[in-house]
Amino acid sequence: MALVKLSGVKKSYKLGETLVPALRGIDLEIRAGEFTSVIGASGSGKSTLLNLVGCLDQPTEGSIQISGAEVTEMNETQQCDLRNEKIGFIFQSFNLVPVLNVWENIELPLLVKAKLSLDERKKRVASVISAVGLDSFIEHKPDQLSGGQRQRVAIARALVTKPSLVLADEPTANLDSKTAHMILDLMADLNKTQNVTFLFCSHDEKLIGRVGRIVRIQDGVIVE
Amino acid sequence: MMWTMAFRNLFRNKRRTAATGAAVMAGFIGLTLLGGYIYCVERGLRANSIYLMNKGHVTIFKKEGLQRYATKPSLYELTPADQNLVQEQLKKYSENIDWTGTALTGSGLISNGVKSVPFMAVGVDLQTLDKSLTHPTVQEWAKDFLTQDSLNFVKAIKENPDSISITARLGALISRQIPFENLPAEQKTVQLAGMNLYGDLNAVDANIAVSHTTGSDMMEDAGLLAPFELLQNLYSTDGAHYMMIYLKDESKITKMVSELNETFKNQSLPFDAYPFDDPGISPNYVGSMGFLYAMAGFFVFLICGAVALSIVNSLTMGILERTREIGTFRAIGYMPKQISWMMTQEALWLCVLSGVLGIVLAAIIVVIVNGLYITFSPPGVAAAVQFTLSINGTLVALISCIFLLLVGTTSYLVTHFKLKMKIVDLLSDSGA
Repeated sequence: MALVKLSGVKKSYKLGETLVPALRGIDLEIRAGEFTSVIGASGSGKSTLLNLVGCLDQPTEGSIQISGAEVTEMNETQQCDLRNEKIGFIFQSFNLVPVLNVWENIELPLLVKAKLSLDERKKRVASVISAVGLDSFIEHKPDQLSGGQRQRVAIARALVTKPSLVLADEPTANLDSKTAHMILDLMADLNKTQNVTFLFCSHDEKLIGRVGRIVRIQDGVIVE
Repeated sequence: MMWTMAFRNLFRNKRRTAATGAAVMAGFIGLTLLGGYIYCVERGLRANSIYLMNKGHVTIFKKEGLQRYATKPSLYELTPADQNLVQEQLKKYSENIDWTGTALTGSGLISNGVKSVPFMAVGVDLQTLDKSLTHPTVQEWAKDFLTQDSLNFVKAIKENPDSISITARLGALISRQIPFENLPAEQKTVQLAGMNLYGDLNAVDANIAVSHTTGSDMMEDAGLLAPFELLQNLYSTDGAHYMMIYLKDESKITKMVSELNETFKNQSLPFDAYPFDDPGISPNYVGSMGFLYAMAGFFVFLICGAVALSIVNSLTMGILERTREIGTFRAIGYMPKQISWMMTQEALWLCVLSGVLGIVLAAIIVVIVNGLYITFSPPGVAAAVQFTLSINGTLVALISCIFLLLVGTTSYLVTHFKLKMKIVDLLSDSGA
């Protein structure tokens, strides 16, 4: 069974009086363990696609299923739970909380639910910090880290809840090419070793060779 | 960790936090001092009414005597038999009764042999005079209403049962200047004349011993305090106008009055019980406190409004600057109410820190103001009273609760409305 299944997904934005279509009917399946990149030019609809898969926005039309559950029919609480438990997010601008250190930033998604014990939380945070190689930076605040290190923190934060799916919106866009490749290598490694499903979007054609599957999107439709 | 994060967030924009904190602190100081001042005034007026105006915590009249005694005193006086009936009913409250007393009131003319001026007299039993004037509550809260020689009144009565105390202004009207103790013996002797309870003219000799103040500007030209028996002689009665009950525990006044009235009604006893703060018993107390409470209500409204607006402004700016961060919280699974609570925690931290600082500053102001010994004559009050401030623990706790509730509610509502934005919009918002 597909981890993510999109059927006939359309999304339009209202711009003044006119409706601007961003997605014109997307059918897509992502299986567990895949390392998929959505490639497309700026404005092609790739971020919109990721936002819909991540339950950050609602489609105008169509069906989105994650692990067999129809997300368009979920209420706000159910969507919050889904985002917290099954989806990890990595953002282009890292989106770390500046007043929290590395450890605390990573721990943040675990605090949503009180069901995890302190010991379990510590174990999980320590494990992902080790996986992204930031053991010696746990006390550092985001402004004391380089761009690559910040994105590693963001990756660790996305992984700490042991999600089935990690969504990354242009995760390398704010990084230099060397760091971008290191981040991509880290994601690919986590995909292989921890069997985490990654779906990320990028407009950087140079990264294409490093991913398992490419979904090319153009003017709101999948072309490849 | 959420409380820690909320605390750290205060230091993100130190200038704005300081400005908002200062507004909260100023509001806290304002309310604490205003409350402290009203508390001091209330205690002073209460002590004056209960002890110095001789009304007691609870006052018992013949039924409708409060309203009609002045027109038909013989019908509405408390006879010795009435007083015994009342004392019977008071037995069950003996544990909480400090003492009971009797008072007789009336008017007439005081004459120095050449000139006669009207007086309004209160005759009080010796025990009440003795205990009231030296009561710790009076010493603590109403010493401004005591004249220097008023404490010698009981001693003077014991030496001469015809001793009376009059106000300095009444003394001046009959050409007697304070201190009355220094007057030659012939100038101390005056005659009190008045209509007795049965409509006949009567007169008694009296000896001006000391001065006192009524506390009320309106009464000050006619204030006369006399031994109970002297006024009984003047008005040819063995009865009293009312009985006073002085309690050990003031919190039980309302309950006692209610129970007494219920008992009087059930047993068809012709008496009425009133609390000291009934408008008919202590019009000065009720009028002054009514004015102060209305004024305080207005200031509380203004201060709370200003504090709430400061919080709204600060939080709105904070949220605008952190829109993307809030979007991130939403993306990783936080519910809007959890984020609202997070922002509220931040405001509560600010409130607590400002409040603590506010209490410290208010305490310093209280010490300075009280140390300056500023006196003034409030409208309607005969005596010059000290401008006194105090910090009352209960009041501070109440103000703290009000502020925490105000700040908490305001911040929760502000964030709650902002969080209605879609997550994608929050994430894409670059902030202010």
